[in-house]
Amino acid sequence: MALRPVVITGVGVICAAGRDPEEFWARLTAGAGGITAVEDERFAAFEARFAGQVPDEWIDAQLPAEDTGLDRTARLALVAARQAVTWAGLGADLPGDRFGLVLGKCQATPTAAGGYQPMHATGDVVAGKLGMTGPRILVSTACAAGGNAVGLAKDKVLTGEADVVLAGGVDPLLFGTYAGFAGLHALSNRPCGPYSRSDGLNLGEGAAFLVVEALDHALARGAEPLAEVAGYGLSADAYHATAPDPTGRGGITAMRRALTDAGLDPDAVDYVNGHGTGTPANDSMEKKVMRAVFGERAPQVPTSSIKSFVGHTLGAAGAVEAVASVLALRTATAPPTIGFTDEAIAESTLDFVPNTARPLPMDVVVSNNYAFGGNNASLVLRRPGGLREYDDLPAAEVVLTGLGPVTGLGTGIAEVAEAVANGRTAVGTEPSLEGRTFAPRSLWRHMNNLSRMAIAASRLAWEDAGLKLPRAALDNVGVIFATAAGSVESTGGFDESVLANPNKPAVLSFSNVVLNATGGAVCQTLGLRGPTTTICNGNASASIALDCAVETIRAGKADVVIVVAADEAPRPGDGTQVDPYDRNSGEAPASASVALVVESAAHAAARGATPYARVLSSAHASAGAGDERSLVERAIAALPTEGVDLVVGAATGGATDEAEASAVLGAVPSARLTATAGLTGDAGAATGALNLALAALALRDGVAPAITRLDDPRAGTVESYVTKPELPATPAKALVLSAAPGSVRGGTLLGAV
Amino acid sequence: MESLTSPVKAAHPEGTAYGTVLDAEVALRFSTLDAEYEAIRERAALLDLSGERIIELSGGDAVDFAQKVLARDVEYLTAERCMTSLVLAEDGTVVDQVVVWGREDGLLLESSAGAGTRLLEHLRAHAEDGVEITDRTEEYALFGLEGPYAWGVVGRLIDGELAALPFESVVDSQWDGVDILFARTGVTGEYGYKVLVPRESAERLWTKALEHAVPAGQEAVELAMLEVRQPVVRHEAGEGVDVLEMGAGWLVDITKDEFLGRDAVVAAFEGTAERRTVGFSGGTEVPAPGTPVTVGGEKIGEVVHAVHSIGLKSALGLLRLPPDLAAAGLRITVGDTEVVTLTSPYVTPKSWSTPII
Repeated sequence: MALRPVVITGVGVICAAGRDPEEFWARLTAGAGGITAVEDERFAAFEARFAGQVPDEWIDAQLPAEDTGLDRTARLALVAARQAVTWAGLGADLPGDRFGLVLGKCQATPTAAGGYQPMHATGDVVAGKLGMTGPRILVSTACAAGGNAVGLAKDKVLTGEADVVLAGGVDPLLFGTYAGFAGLHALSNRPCGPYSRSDGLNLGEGAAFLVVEALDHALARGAEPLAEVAGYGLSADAYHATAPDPTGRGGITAMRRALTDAGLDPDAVDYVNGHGTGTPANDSMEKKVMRAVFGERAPQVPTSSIKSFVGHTLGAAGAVEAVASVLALRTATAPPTIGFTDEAIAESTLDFVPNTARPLPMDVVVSNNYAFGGNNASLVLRRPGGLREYDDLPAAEVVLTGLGPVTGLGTGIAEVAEAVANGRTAVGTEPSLEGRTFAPRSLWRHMNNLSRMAIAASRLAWEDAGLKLPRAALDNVGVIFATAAGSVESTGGFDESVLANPNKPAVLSFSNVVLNATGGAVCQTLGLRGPTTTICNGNASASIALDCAVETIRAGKADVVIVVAADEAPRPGDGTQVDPYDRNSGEAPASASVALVVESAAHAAARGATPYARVLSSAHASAGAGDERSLVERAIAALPTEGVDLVVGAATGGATDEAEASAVLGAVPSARLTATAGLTGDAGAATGALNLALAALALRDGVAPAITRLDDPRAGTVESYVTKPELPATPAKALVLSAAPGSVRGGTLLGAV
Repeated sequence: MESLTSPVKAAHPEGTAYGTVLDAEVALRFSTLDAEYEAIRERAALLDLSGERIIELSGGDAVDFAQKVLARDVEYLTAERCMTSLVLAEDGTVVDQVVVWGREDGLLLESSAGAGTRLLEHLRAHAEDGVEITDRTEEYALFGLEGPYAWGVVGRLIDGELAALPFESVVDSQWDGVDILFARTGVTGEYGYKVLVPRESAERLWTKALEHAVPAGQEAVELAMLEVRQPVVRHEAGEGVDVLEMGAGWLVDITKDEFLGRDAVVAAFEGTAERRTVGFSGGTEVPAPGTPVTVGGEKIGEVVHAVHSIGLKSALGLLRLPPDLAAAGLRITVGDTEVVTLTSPYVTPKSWSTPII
């Protein structure tokens, strides 16, 4: 099956090796590295003091005055994003709602004033400045995020949700992260030597973007395709929080999946842009990947690491390297790996293109990235072909077969269903995991709270689905993790340790600071190695993750995907009650994790499973010029809502509830509205997943979460809401809303089985 | 039950010295102890583990049963992991130390050398509905590789990708068209691997492996195990000795709610131990078990087990002493010989500084 060809029509990059693609490529091909000693006095605390830094003037000289007050992350991103859009020749004629953004980011980054901002904030700034109101996704698979973003962008073009998607990654150099890597003894004391000295990495910073669109769309508007996004592959090591699986299994699988997705043999690959961090664990693992995938041909496949020029730019790395891969294809030149001595060249067992760029006609390039959490991403790019016939993405029926809530209300769907039916609430109550370990004790002992909740939720959902799969099948079970903020416990613990003494960071916490750590822990504990990624779009993360799961199943990349959402309350509950949509409601944070087993209907039927609900369709809208209500309306308008009799909303008790309620009552007047935040409080991404889970339960059992104390609704009358659990009739169709207010609003339609 | 003999005995080198270990006839030495020890510590040694029984637990309740009879937690042991656990009697005494191999439809228990019959009887005595206990020893042969370059043998013999597997990983693989079960294990502190091969192919694999590794018998293996304080149950589990006194607390998990012998282990953890085990070296004479340990002429304990360590070029063994004296660096007297107590490992394995390339 040949799907619609998707191409790259513009690139932008800013990093230590250059302020734009031209300078970047000139330095790469000249073998001129950009890694320098860190000037910032604070870094004097560390023995290793080299990094790939971007001078401020490179950034500011490319920004209009109005943007110079933005935080560094946003400024880096805007520079590269605008370059890519300009290169692609995108004009005002591209409708904003057909223009999407997939941004990869590894670190939670500070605002201009200091203090963390939401993970998706940088994406909102870029999208706002560039007028993008199409799909908006923040992917955070640590150091694989940038490459992952290009793959997800392709998916959004294939589903037809967007005509053009800007995909990329950004990360600034942060002191805390530097301390963490130093604490792991992962830093080299000089400019790094990937594949040669392999004595550690240098951190870097930067941003890179690629304009991704359908080939036919590009040609129709007269754009020049630079490269085709032939395929991508994701995998989970299911091995360790920070160390790569030494056998290279995860990396091998990602590359093989990417080549399969591209319909290509390993023999077709002309050049590999490696991950090449320069740590001994990475470099030796990567050599194994090369040997396993290419066999005897491995020494003849040129492989280079541009991290030798720019350092490891974390969430930006995959995107920076994808840009380098596009330029390599376009100029028929393999960039070198610098830092080789003559002796190292003589000892090399593979062709790492040492020190000097090489003219190399190429048709197919693979770019690989491997990350903390055991996330691997491979991207296959090739020289663009001409217009050709293609098939639409197949429409596979997808169902929800297992629910695993871990909430203050109860642990497991039986307890939670009982609580819902009896109208019990437990706002801000910590979930209880007493009485059972959900993982081998040796792992459980060292896990943070977020991972424990997510693993418990995943295992409960798995058991609820009645899944019993042989080992080989587990290798293809996907895991999509959704979180707004990751582990509050680990982030706080790590930051405190760095503040106390940067040379004694809490390294165990550091490995859990990356947002995808918990997803990786789920994969490791349940032994799942299918496609995996992590989505961080606030409370809309779970519905976006469900979209990714459905696309993974539609594309035939998995039959079973676990969507697991988890977030922690930043402060303990104080007794505040939440009555969604009520003018007098308070808001209360909560900790929870909720997992959903998402499965192709055919797979579920073949094993005799009874699903809770079918996933009918979904839509997400991103903020633009309009107000919050119009954002909800846009999301709902894209969905066939006739026949919907239940709406489970994203309300959390705050003022934005009004926008949602007004929009729903106007657009779906026949339905009754409710929300789960009244039961548990606002558990971030997990509330989004709980809404999906309890809507699915309502479709099966006719019992829905009730807002029992609703007196003074912000919109409509009390009759428009679900005020007691027992529904008059079991609904046939439910609309589940999700919200990262001011950023993304979504709707997912579920149908009874 | 018949005593075990090696299915590849015919392919053992001429002059192999055999001995009886509990219910098994095992090869004590294939050549000389020095040569075999040198292979384990400096190169790669091939082990014939035919003295160990392979017992399968299957059926719907296999994992629950394993949880009951094993002192460590195997609830989430997947088909690609293995681990070591003690098997305890109700009174907390050690029945055996086993390697548990996770399988998709149950588990395999690998007994220690010669202890398989006793283990099997213990399991059957506690058998329940819903679990089948099957002795699979006759269907397989189990071989081991140990040594700082054992990974190279794995590469040459089977598949280089398997050499760098994480510790205690299990892989269903193939060798020369035959289904094998392969594990990264290790008991001597060196790189260690095990291969479970169908019996009909055993001699072929053994013979092929001999081209790359030196066969090492039970004596060399147990010496190398002692040098890194890897327990050999039959030498260490004396009468009335609990797991804490043995120093085998790491092979039980008292956070697990229930298992045979748990009450006794918990009591031991909560009680005041009278004895602890500590290593010693010194002198050239190897003292017999029970030899008194004295300080200033006063008896404070006795020898558990001792051998001549090739690595240390002196006697090496374990002592049971009062807890406050079971510490490293003390000069004491064993029999008539001055010795010093040690921290483990007593010999630093070369593998610790030898990377897998």
